[in-house]
Amino acid sequence: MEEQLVETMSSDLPRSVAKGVTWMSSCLPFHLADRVIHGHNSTYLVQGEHSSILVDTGNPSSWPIISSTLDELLDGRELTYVFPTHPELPHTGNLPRLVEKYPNIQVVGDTRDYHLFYPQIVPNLHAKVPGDKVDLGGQEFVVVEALIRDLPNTQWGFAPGAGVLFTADGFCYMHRPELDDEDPVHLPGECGLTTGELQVPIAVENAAFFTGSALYWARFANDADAVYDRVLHLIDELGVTSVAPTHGNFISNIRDVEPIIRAGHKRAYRYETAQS
Amino acid sequence: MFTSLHTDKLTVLGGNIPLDGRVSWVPEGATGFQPSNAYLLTEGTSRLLVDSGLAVHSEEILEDLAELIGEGGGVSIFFTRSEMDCVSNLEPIAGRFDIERLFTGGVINPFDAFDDLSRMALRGRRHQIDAHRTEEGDSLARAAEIEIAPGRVLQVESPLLRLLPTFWGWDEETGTLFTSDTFTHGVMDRPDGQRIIDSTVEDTTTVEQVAGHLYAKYEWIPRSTCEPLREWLQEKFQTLDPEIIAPSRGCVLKGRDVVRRHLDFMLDALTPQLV
Ligand SMILES: [Fe+2]
Ligand SMILES: [Fe+2]
Ligand SMILES: [Zn+2]
Ligand SMILES: [Zn+2]
Repeated sequence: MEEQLVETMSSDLPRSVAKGVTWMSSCLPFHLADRVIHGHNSTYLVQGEHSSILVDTGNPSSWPIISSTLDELLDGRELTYVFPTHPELPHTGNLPRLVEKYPNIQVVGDTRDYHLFYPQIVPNLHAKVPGDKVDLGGQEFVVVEALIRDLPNTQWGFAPGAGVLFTADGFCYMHRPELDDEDPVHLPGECGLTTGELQVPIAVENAAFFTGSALYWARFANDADAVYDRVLHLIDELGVTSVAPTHGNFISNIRDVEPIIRAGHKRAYRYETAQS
Repeated sequence: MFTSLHTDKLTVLGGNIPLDGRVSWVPEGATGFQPSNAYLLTEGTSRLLVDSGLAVHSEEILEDLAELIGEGGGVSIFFTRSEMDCVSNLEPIAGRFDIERLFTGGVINPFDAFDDLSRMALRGRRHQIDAHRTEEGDSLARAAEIEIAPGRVLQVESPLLRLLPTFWGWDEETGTLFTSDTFTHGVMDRPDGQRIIDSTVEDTTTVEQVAGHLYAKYEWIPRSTCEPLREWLQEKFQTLDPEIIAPSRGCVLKGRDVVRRHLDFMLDALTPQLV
């Protein structure tokens, strides 16, 4: 596989997906022997009248494209907040570059560990807990407990005015049955499509394969129903209409997609007899 | 400050993390100081660094490396995980030393954190250690090998007990098992405390402490089917009979008695109803 140096953004993106919410995604192309597949590495910009918040930072290798997209969308204003869902490169890797570009930016969220990884941004760190709200002016951003996570300091976010729930690595899946890679991928041309617009629906096997590797613990914990019941409860409680994962297409029809992801998660469990 | 674990063969370097409520991977209310570890394996003039420590310790890691391998010296690096506690000194190390080879697994390429120019210069030095993934994503059927120098290899395996893509290393020469983010429970009262638990120190570790640290990061353990994990761990330790457990953070566990005691703690922690 040829290593790509520059991540690209599809010409279909950035795209407005809900009131004040713009989907920005750089797509990393993977060149396989016989085809090219893409992996989403999305960031989302939520804008209000006086402030804006970037959800996840994208990979450092896509910084040039993220930076110029922000220039275009912010139109001369400063980025006020960034909400990294958890400290892995695709989600937080551009924090130092963002602080350099916007020295007054507030990094909000579960900021534990960040002082160890990025000592130079300590003055910008503003820890938040679930329930905390950030006012953007006619638009709010609410910090929400992550119900599916891969690190203890993962957080989710919600924009009530737009009905969008930001779920980090939760609800990531690959939707092409014929693709065998374990990363959530799509085909060129699908970069800016929502799940409602995709021609081939997600299959349970896709979700199972992805869950089994990316949420490795699913093979040991036989509690998918409990997990997704809580997620559905959250969706009802908050009034979520769509879900924005970092990897994978924007989910416009969460009620249709959730049962598939749940079934896939269930299938990832490996052991017949539960622990006594 | 670095400490030799095995003369001319293995050194541990890194700083301490104050446990002050701002660290996610320790149990709530944990206090004291947790060592953050990088390990330098040496064989003649060849060196392999296992993990790179935390950015907040960058200065001391770089100074220690300069003393150990010479200013601008060549070194290969193996990352047990692509998480920030392992990789966050890659860039400063690349700026001051010659990274000869970089061994990583998973899909995250740590060189992606570099600017285009440096990435260009370093491309080709990265070796994907899990290029051949097993069908079911379990521990690798046959361990990959990293040659430190002719005749000295580090065997690499993806452990069954893991959270994110993770690799354990086994150095037969020194009897050292590199366990990444497990066996991380050894903390110190003072920043200048003893970062190695061996037969010469009073070991006050309890099973609750081991479980607390394990569950802080592996929060799913208490609600999971753990028999396969215990079996795997037991078999691993029986086969290898390690003399040193070398985690990415926490005290180094040294000596067969110490290793056996801490394995028992871990097996009990993996039996949640006992804790
Ligand atoms: Fe993640
Ligand atoms: Fe991911
Ligand atoms: Zn991710
Ligand atoms: Zn794409």
